Amino acid sequence: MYGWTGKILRINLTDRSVRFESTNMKDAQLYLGARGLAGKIYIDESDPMIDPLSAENKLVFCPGPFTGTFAPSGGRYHVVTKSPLTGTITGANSGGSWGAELRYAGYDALIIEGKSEKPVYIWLKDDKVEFRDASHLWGKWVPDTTDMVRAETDLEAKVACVGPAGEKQVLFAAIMNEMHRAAGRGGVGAVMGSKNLKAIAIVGTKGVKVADPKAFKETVLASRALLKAHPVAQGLGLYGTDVLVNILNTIGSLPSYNFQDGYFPTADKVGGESLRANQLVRNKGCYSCVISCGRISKVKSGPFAGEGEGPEYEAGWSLGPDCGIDNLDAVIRSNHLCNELGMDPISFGSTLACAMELFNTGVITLKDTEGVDLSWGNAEAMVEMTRKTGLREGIGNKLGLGSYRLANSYGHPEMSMTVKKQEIPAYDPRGVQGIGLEYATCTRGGCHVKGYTISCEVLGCEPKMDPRVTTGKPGLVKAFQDVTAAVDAVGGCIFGTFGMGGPDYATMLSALTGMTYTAEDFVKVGERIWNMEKLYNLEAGFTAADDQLPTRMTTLPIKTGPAKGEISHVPEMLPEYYKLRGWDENGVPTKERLQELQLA
Amino acid sequence: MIIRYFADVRDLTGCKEEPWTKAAANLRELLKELVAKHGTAFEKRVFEGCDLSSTIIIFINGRDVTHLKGIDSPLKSEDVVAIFPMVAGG
Repeated sequence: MYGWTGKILRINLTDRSVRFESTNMKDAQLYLGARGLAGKIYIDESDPMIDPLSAENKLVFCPGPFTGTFAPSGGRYHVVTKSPLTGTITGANSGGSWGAELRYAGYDALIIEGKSEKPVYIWLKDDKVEFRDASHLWGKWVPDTTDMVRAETDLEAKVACVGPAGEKQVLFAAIMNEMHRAAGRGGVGAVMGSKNLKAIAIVGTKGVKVADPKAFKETVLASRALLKAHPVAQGLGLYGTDVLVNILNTIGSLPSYNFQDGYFPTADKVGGESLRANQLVRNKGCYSCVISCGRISKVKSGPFAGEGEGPEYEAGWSLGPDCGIDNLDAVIRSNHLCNELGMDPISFGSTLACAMELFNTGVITLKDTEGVDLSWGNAEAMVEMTRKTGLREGIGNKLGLGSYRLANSYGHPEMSMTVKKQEIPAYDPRGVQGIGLEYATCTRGGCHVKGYTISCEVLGCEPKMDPRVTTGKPGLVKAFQDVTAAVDAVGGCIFGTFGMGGPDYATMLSALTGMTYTAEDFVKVGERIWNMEKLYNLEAGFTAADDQLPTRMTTLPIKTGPAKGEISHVPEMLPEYYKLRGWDENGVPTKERLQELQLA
Repeated sequence: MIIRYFADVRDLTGCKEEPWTKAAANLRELLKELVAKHGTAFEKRVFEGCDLSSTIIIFINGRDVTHLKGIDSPLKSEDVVAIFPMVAGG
């Protein structure tokens, strides 16, 4: 067998049973791995109506066929579960090397089910599985947890764990691997914490079998060279993703003050250029990456001193302009704290921005915040609230539920910038129309990376499209969503798509697995995954009414900057999007389309 | 007019932004003036032959010139021109 190991590991935390099962190879061929295979396994086994934080929920971890090979930027894993934040299916993916280690241990999937009575961690070395007491680790932050688990198991072990945020079920808690890499969105860490599962440490000693090593090597080397030479890859290595702060601000689509505006005059202070000049120690890559966009950053002195990783663009924005903050030292410190506590900085920053709006409009006062001044731009307060939220202390307890629940608890749902209760990211959909449609329709709630139309709408990739127009955007969104789902399913990073297209992925996949995949087959895998996820959400009770942006995006024009006066036109684009997807006017996939995709 | 530079374009100009008072009827004329000031490395960054480099993105008042009139986009004295290399993120 090539490309897959043919083996799945199922661990039940309730009765501490371990089962080795065979991979359903038909599913593997149709869904590949990572987001696709994990989603297929999860959906086949799970009732969409369960409580995400109950023992009935499961976590399915999957590397992709590329994971553990030297395919460019192909070292990722996905973890799929029902999100406690959104109630949708969610798939969070992460780089680093943990996914490759899972592959080397010999598995196409790791299924975690049930709930441990006491804190526990899993020590996995190839076929050997141990349950170890984690009582002494409970309450430890991510760096200490990682170091202690490695010391107790193997210093070479790759560790994925939750921090206090996961233990305390912050609804946007992340699963952190190798300290700094995050399966960040949707609260997958809260699900892991709800199971009393503190960490999974892995050492794998097996390789990945390749069907046609010569052809695989040739096509991988060609793809690596193609990607490495691409100007975007070079820029990412130099400046990281935070370089986007200035370009989004230049077009007037950098959300500020909880999306009350789309422009931030001092944005340059928190951009990638400033980071490179002042706090960057060096860049860092994930397994088999040719780009190395990761930032190791250090604030040398002052109240925000510390060293860690980040920020990415999203954190640079959410902890910066969205809270009216232009102090990059504070943004970095808060980002480091998010990593150490184990929570998603996008949802945290946006939730804090919501709290700041509640405070600045007088809905909440110093009494509600236990004396923390949440005035716009208060960098010290942001850092303090990061800690309070991760530990669910004081008002941090409410922030830990996300902005939808926070805003609703004070009777102001209009201040939550969410889709399906997940905080929308750093591209203002009033100034960039296509990404708004992606936010509205994404199967895991407000999200940019599952359909990154910004490439064509802002960053100059072909086909270049005017960000302010709606014409052609439904097709663009669908195309990006389908390709991205397929790239996710092989274990790839979306940055690979800047230099590689469907034919490149299909050629590598064919050489790796020995099966013949055309570019069309590859994209079809992605469309199948998207529809599978959509069907789950429909069964979980979501409707077309949930495919909407926050009302502010369609009613409150951007106030200042180059995109002044713009609003989002998602409602006008949605019918065409449904039609292109082969869905009816209610956003329900037709029987014909499902049959075509082998989903019915 | 104000010209703003970003990412590694700043390394070529040695500044983040500069006011520009010389007359330039369109982007092509402006870029030629900027090349005269900032030299051949800047020229190679922004031009491919007589056209805009495919690895550069230029905005006039926040609008990508691709969606205006490209290198022939007209300019006014109060315009803000921003010059970026191709960048990406997530």
